Amino acid sequence: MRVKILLGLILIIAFLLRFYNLSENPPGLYWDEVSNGYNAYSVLKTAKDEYGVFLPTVFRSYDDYKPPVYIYSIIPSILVFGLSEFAVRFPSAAGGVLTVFLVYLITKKLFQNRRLALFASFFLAISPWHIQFSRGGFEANFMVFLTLSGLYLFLQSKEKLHMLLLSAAVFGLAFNTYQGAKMWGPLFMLTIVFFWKKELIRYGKKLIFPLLILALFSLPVILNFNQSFLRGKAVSVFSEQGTDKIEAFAKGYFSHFSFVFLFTKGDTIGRHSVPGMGELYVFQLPLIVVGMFLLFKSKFKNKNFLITWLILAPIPAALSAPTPHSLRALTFIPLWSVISALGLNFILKFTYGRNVKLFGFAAIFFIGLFNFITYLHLYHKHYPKEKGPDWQDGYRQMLSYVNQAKDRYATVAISDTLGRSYIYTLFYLKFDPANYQAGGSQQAFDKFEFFKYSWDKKKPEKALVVASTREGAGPEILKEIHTYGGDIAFRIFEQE
Amino acid sequence: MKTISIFLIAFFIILKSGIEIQECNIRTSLQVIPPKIWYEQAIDGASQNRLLTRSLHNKAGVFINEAGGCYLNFLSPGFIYQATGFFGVFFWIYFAYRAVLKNQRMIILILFMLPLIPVVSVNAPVYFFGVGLVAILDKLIAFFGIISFFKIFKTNK
Repeated sequence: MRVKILLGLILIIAFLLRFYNLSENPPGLYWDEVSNGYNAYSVLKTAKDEYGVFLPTVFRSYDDYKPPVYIYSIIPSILVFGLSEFAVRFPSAAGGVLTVFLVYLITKKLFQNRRLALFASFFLAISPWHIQFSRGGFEANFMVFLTLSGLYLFLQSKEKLHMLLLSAAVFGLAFNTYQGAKMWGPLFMLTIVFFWKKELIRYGKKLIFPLLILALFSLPVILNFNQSFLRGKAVSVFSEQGTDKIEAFAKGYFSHFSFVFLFTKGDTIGRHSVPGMGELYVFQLPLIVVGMFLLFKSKFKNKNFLITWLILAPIPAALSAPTPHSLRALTFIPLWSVISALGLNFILKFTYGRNVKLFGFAAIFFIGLFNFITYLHLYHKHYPKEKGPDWQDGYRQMLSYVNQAKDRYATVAISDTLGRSYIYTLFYLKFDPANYQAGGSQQAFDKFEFFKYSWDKKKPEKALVVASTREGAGPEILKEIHTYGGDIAFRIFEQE
Repeated sequence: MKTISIFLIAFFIILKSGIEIQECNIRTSLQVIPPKIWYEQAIDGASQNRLLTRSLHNKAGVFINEAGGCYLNFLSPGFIYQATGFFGVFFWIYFAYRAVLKNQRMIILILFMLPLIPVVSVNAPVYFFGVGLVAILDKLIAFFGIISFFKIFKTNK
């Protein structure tokens, strides 16, 4: 009963940290989120994506051919909440909360220790790394949720074929969720097969069914083979000219274990971490050092599986640039929580003397509390002000104004220098997907035109022009659009 | 075969060169404090409770974060890789692991003290000399790791 209450509390904490002010912070929708959201809306309304492809198995999007599962998962969310920031982020945030629960279940299953499982789920619930990616509509976060679901179903599948079939189906979905899953999925599944081969062999010929399911789910990748790996090729270290590939890979690989990345500075990409923090809390450092030592030293039977997971997790991220990359190495997250839990569990059991134990625990508790408060402050106070541009902060405010004013003008010209303004216009104006598919393009649709640096007026009537700060504005500014941090993002003016 | 493997690994460790590192020590950590505090307090704004601002953004906190980062950098697998190469990282960690396992406190203490050589240096030339020294000592630790690893290999046999 006590365990259930504690687990309930942990899940409530996880929920609050992931859902509080979700629409406002991060302070804008990143263009991948907008594309996912509008394509989901388009499928909901017309059963076609923005390019008019019927129920796509791969979404062309910005010619990066996105895997489909996350986009389809947004559809029910849009049905319930409408086309909004919250709807786009909901599957990732909900997946994040459920991942916390899955970490509890998996840790309990692997270690047969409820207290350890509670600690692990608690560390994940408050993890800055996991919260960061749960609060954005990141496919990778949803992939981690599906991967852990697949693992848990697999662990439950002893002698139960239907669980194994379900597990295969969930792994198949994970494979179609995120670009990096094309590398991570097979690696992780092979690891599972290697460590549970005896259990799998017992199924004999019945194994053909889960294999068939996996083959079925890999069809979207196989049928769109050329497009499916475009993104991977674009960011691969092996496609970079004039660099020592092996050296780049090795440096990238080890950079994911860097203490600076993990505990003090974090990822350098603004969307991926909070400035002034590492990916994990500083108070976890001693716990991880102790936990890591225990993991290697202990004799429990699943330790080699966890160690292999730890060794393999940075490989997809290390094969691409830049490194360290907290998004591509997201599969790491559950492990750091489990290892921290091992460390804390050991410290609590430590019998060096009551005072030493009390002092150690008090030190970790107070440093942990300070770290947590600092993180909340940095995330909710500093982050939206500092990292607004990384989230294309300004588009929503600008398009809210345009939506009110557009009927008074024959043409609305919007600057594209901040990138992908056509999809933001479609998204925030909830533009009818059927109309867009009929004759729209990324340069113009309906009365909207998109330009970079300069715009030529073609119609004699009045036009509304939205310019970024990189372009000149008319003499009379109708409205200045400010980011959360107070900088000017757009200036709106009329052109006669 | 074993001897050849040991020599090959040792050879790779000796040959590994090319550390890319920026100066990061007590001096740079102290330099960062005023602009960082000014920046962070400006973001907090005048309307925020002063006590909260001062307790979250203060000299001690910024210094510990910066200097701690410099210190931890030298214990990171990334730096050890740059100093000793792929095999070197493995044997370095193996040596540290054995030291903890055997409760060799002096060795553990030395491993933790090593990064202090460059971190406490007060100017750039001394810092980079310290970095070189730590790199050489890391190679040495990796050699000890090799010796320790292959000894165990022998006794198991």
